[in-house]
Order: sequence, then C-alpha cells, then structure tokens
Amino acid sequence: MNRTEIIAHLQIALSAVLNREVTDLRPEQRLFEDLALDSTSVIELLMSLEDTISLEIDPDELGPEVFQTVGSLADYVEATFSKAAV
Amino acid sequence: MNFLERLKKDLTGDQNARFILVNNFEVERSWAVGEPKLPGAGIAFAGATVNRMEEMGALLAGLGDVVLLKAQMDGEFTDYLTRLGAAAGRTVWPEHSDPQRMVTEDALACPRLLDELRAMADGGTYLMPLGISSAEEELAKETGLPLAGTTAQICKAVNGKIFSRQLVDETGLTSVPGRICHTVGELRAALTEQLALGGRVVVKESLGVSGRGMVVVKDEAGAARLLRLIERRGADAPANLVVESWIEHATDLNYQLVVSRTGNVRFETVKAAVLRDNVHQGHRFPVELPPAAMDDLLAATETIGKALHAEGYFGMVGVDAMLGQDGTLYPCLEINARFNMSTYQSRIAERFIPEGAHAIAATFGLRPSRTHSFGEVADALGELLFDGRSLPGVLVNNFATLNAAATDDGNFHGRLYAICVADSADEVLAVRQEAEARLQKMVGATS
Repeated sequence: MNRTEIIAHLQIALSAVLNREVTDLRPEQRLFEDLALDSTSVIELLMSLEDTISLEIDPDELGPEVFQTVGSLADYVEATFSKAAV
Repeated sequence: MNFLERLKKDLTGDQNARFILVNNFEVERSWAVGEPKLPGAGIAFAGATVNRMEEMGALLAGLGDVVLLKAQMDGEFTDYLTRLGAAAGRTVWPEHSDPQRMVTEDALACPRLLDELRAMADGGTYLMPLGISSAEEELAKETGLPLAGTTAQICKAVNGKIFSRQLVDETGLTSVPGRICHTVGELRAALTEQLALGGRVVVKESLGVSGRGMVVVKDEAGAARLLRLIERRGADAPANLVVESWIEHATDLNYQLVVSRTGNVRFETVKAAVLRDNVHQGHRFPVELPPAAMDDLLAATETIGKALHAEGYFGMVGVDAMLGQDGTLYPCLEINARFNMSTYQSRIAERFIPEGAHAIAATFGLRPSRTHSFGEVADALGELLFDGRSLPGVLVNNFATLNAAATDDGNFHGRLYAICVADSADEVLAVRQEAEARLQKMVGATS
C-alpha cells in the first residue's frame, strides 16, 4: 500500500470516527488539535483502521507520538505494513 | 455556616480550621497507574490544561485559607475576583512549574514552598486535596500538615467503577443493566448479553479518568472489533471493566454529599446536564426533580454515604446519576469520592446566586492562536461579565486554563470556565450562547 492509499484509508477511518466527512487530509494536520479527535475516539479509530486496512495493530505498543499528526499515523501504518511484508 | 465551614466541621470537627486547598484535578490518573486499560486508552494526553484547573480553588477558599497553585494568578483576573469578593483566601505557588505535573508534584519539587507550608502547621491547619493519592500523602509527610481525609489506598478503592457497581448490587439501588468483567475472557459474554437487551452498550475502565477510558459499542460489529483488539492479551489477562447498557435520552445528574469523619451523611446539591441540539452546554442548577425521584436520590445519598464510611472513607463525594425518560432514577452510575466540579461552585452559589435565579456552569472550549489576557476576555464579554450585583452575568471562575496549552506554532486548545447566571432557565441558556459567541469571536473563530 502506498502513501496516497494510506492517507485515503485514514480519511475513511477518521470520517467514520468523527461522524463527519473528513476531506483533504494533510500530513501536518494534528489529530487532536486540528481534527478534534478526542481520547475516547482513539480506540474507535484503531478499530476502524483495522477494518479498513486489514492491518493488525497492537494498541498496547502504541505511544502518543503515533497520534501527533496525520503524517505520524501514516508513518506508523506504513512501517507496520513493511514489517508484515518481511 | 457556609459550605466550606460545614465541610471543615464534618472532616476535622472544627468549622474554624484552616484549609490548604490542593486542587489536584484528575487525581484519577494517579489512581489508574498500573491498572488495566482499554486498548489505546494508554495513549497519554497533555495534561497542561487540566493541571491548571487548580486555580478554581481560589473561589472556594474562605478567609484565612490557603490555595496551593502551580503559578501566580494573573493580576487582572485576581483584581476581578477581589472586586467581586469571590476569592477570600491567599495563594502560594512554587518557584518552578512543570505544565505536565499536577499541583502537588510541583509543590513537592520546591523546597522553598515546602518550608512555607511547614511553617503553617499549627495543629488547626489541614491539607484539603481534591482527592488523595500517594503524592498528597507524601506532601502531608513532608510538611507535617495532616490531611483532612483518609488514606490514598481507601480513596482509590472506593473510586473504582467496579466498587460503585458492586455497591449498587449489594444495596439494592436501581441499577442499569450490566455486569463486571475482571478478566478479558469475561468480556465477550458480557457484550453479547448486553447487546441482546437492545440498544448501545458502554464499556468502562474501572479506574478510568472521568469522561475517558470508555468506549460505546453500537452493535455486534463494534463488539467484534473491540474484542479483536483486547482478546489478543489473552483470556486470563486482567480487564477490570464495567459493561452496561446505554440509557438513551436520559438526563444526566450529578449530586454531592459529604461523609463526615464520624459517619454522618449530608446531602449538598444536585445539578443536571443541559443539552442544546444534543450538545453539552454545562450543568444547570438549581434543579427541580420530580418528588419521587428526589426522594429516591436522598435515600441513595444515605445508602452510598454509609457504605463509603463502612469502607473507611470520609470526605466529599460526587455521584453521577441518571433520570430516565420514563421517570426512573438510576441513582448511582459512578461514585467520585473526591471534590467534583460542583464542589468548586459551592461558594459561588452561596455568594452570588440569589434565590430564584438560574445558573449554568459552563466550559468554553476555544482554539486561540495566541495567548489572551484577562482584560481581553473582559472586553469580549463586555456587559455580560458578572459585576457581583446585576443579572444576567458571566462569572469567570478559571482563567489559567485559557493559555495553559499555548504553543509558539499554530493554534491550541484553551478552556475558560464560567458560571452564567440569569433570572430564568431560558435566559441563562441564551446568556451562555451569547458569551460563547463573543469568546469565539475574541479568538478569531469564524463560526
């Protein structure tokens, strides 16, 4: 999965969690400050991402740095895919 | 006796005791250390804004009391509170403040402040924290000042949602359908059972921070997603969750009681969440409950208070409750055996809210792109800013939270806490809306 596809999936997952159409995601956008993700929706985002990307996420291994920006979350997804592909 | 004098009498036996108020908001974070969490709930969130809610204590203190702060209060805000006669105590603060530390931790790291506190130990002075965790016990030990409360261990034990649920089951209070899961392996059956009853289901960490550490499961697909994430830990892994049906269209209530050192139980106040187009606007008071519901609530107060005292607890208690659309009162969803937001509004209510007036305790979430002075807030609110006499009015009771999360790059989340007061329930809601619009305009929001 390339970067553009990952961002497209993030858009779908975030739209589902935030109950509104999220468009034009940019890597520098901050999940909490700019997109208004809140703490209770992190778990919903993880669940939604697993569904849309078919990726197994271990939430207990996630640090807050992953949830800083759209870019950092995309980095995490990309890295997890690379690991899975090895 | 006013609220604080009553509290002093209940907790120390002396209504003239001196309190050093330690407003360690989100003490639940300390109680939750080492406890199992929902997947993803371990992601840490900046506590910089919440940590500055300690400033609210300034409006609770009486003459002679002391409020422990993280930093000196803003001069303009202090002047405003002084003009109103809303802040009677004096404030102390450390030389250095770390935004991520709670007020107690800041104090423990400041030898000068510890000395200042030690000098206050006169046999009639007590540390009065929002809630007691190991940090407050350490502060008591370091300063020689006694705590006006019980041990951190007892406080943690009675603040768990599992404790609340067991108390409800054992005492026969009206309960929301649900069950307790001690291990991960018990969750699947619990979710299946609750979903079968119809409607949504909420899964709550026993020791989650209020409003966090929970997830709402809408249907079986949602349950499967949650189970997939959590069951990877293994069936025997500890979970400590409460799984309950989500009661739709209920009115959220919060009431306060005090359990005295000797086990007397006293009801204080009840407040109701106010919604507008399904958006939370704050809590309104006073609240007129149907007589039967009020009777149930008072009976529950006694039951809960006695049960807490039997566990060794004494102090402030806030209880979350719900009034269903059918008039059923669910009197105990969650016990918060500590100060609550209501506690900090108690003296404001006594001082400034006349009989017959209506109030909403509001939180204004703002997105400033720079820091704002209290003068700017006052200018933005204009004639709405409460002057201590005329209604309607908006009394700002926490200013430090507006700029606590300020960054050099881009906008940030700021909060202002205020009590809106007016002559009618409709008017106070309109005042709240107008205040919000003016504050949003101040920070440059377009909507």
